Amino acid sequence: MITSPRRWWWRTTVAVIALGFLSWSPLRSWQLAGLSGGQAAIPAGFPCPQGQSIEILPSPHISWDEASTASYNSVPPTSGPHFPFSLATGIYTDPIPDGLTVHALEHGHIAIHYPLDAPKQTVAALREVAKRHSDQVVLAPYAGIIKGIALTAWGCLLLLEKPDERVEEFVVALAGRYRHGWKADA
Amino acid sequence: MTQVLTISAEQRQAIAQMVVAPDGADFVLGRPDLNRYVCVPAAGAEFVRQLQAEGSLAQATARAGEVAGEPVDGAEFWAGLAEAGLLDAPSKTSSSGYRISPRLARRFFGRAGWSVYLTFAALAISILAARPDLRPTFESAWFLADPILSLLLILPVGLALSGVHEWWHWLAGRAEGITGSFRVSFRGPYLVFETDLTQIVALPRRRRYGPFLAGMAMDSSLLGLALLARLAFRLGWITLPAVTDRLLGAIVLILVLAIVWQWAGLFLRNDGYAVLANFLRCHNLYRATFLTNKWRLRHLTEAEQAELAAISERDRSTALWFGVVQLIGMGLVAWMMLNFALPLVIGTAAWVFANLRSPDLTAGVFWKSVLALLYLAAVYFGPLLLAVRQRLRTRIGVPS
Repeated sequence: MITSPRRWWWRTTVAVIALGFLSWSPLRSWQLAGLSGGQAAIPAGFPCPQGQSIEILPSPHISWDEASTASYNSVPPTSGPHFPFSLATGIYTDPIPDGLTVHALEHGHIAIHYPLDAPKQTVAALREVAKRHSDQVVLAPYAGIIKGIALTAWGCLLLLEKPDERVEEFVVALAGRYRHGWKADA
Repeated sequence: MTQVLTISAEQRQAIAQMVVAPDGADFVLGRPDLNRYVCVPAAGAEFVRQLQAEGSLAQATARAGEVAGEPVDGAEFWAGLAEAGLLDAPSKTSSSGYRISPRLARRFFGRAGWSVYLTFAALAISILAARPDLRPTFESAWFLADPILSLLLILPVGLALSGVHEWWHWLAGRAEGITGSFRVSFRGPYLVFETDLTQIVALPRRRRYGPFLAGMAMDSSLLGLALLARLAFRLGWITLPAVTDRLLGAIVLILVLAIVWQWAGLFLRNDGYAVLANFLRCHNLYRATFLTNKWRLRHLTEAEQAELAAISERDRSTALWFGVVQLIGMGLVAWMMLNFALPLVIGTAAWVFANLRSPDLTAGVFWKSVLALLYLAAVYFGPLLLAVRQRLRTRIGVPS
């Protein structure tokens, strides 16, 4: 068996590794308190590289009941009160509540919205983009848009009349720019 | 001595049912019908083989002495077999009710079968390596816009996958002729799948890998299929309803976590532990490792020190480095909890409590939140309550 001094070596090594693990772990970057309660408005250091910059709102977590009185500064919203849970990225065929989409944006995702009566070719083109960036994009119809399409990221909004190459550019430029905190160059 | 002992007809029947399997330098003697096994030296195995060949106790003793290279006490060994229950009457329920024959089961675990499992495992690894967008995140579990509905639908899917995993262990055991049972039962409020593979100790070690790896083989195959379907959808080879694609994403999450768990959770004697302990030719690696790590990080009681000293030298020396592997596995499990379980639980629990804080009895979301609260309480506090109940029952002498 090993001797007693080596026992202290083991204890010290395990303690150091455990502390290193905890300081590196998602506990810090995901800001556990923020996960349960939401977070305050933290403005970006630079304007949106694509689309228009929208002022960041305080973004607390809200209940279903509170969502009915939540207000935002854009349509669709780019920050603000949201549900405490997020959702899987991908294609949705029914509208998603604002409180849920905003949480997806807070996780660095991009939301692509189209009118409920959008032409089939518009939806088909957007579906292809969503498939190419399926870990980044949430695609869903949105009742608040009458025509055109709207792309949102945390604090950024781009309105287009129809899908073109700017959709892909917006996704590439803004996905992951904010993830419970701004990237260093954002 | 042995000459005055006779073997009854019932004992002859018991001897005939005994299995003798090599296990390193020793042999395992067992009664699969009774789930009783002992480890004996080569002379003991030869003793039983002689009796199975209709030899007398005197002949068996003489043959065992030849193998041992010195005289042996056959009568004492015979008494030891009886004491271990290996000469008890054959179980009347043994080998009955197994509708799947070993021959049928072997079709799934032949060269072709394992080739399929390996192909799907390689496919899964390749897709996950080449397509980061198909790697699961904790968000994959919220595949519907309603988190509670997502969890409620994932629950039966997870149970079904767990059932298939366990059943595949059992089927691989059948392919090796094991007559262990597979049961679906309730432990308290929990649905559990129980696969009894204790008879596997009677198999040579090289034949144990199939039953040990079968569950993960099935998990890997299902993972490969799910990923292939998701990839095909993205490449336009197939069309899928969007919700099916997201459900497949949730299934990928469950299977990836299950497979990683099998290798990381070595400290809970899971499939990965069984494979490694078998490969390392150890008998009691779990306790040897636990006690070694406990000694390193805390201290051992006198009883634990005695227990560690009684474990074989091979197991103890293996535990010296296996303990490090086990600690790394614990770190990986902690990482999985922080990255996957914790965000899911916090997100869902915060939603539930937010809705219960302002109750609207007419709203469906309120009642779903109540349901989710019960579910979370059952998942996270149920096992604790069951453990306390079991301890109280043991203390007052109520059988479990």
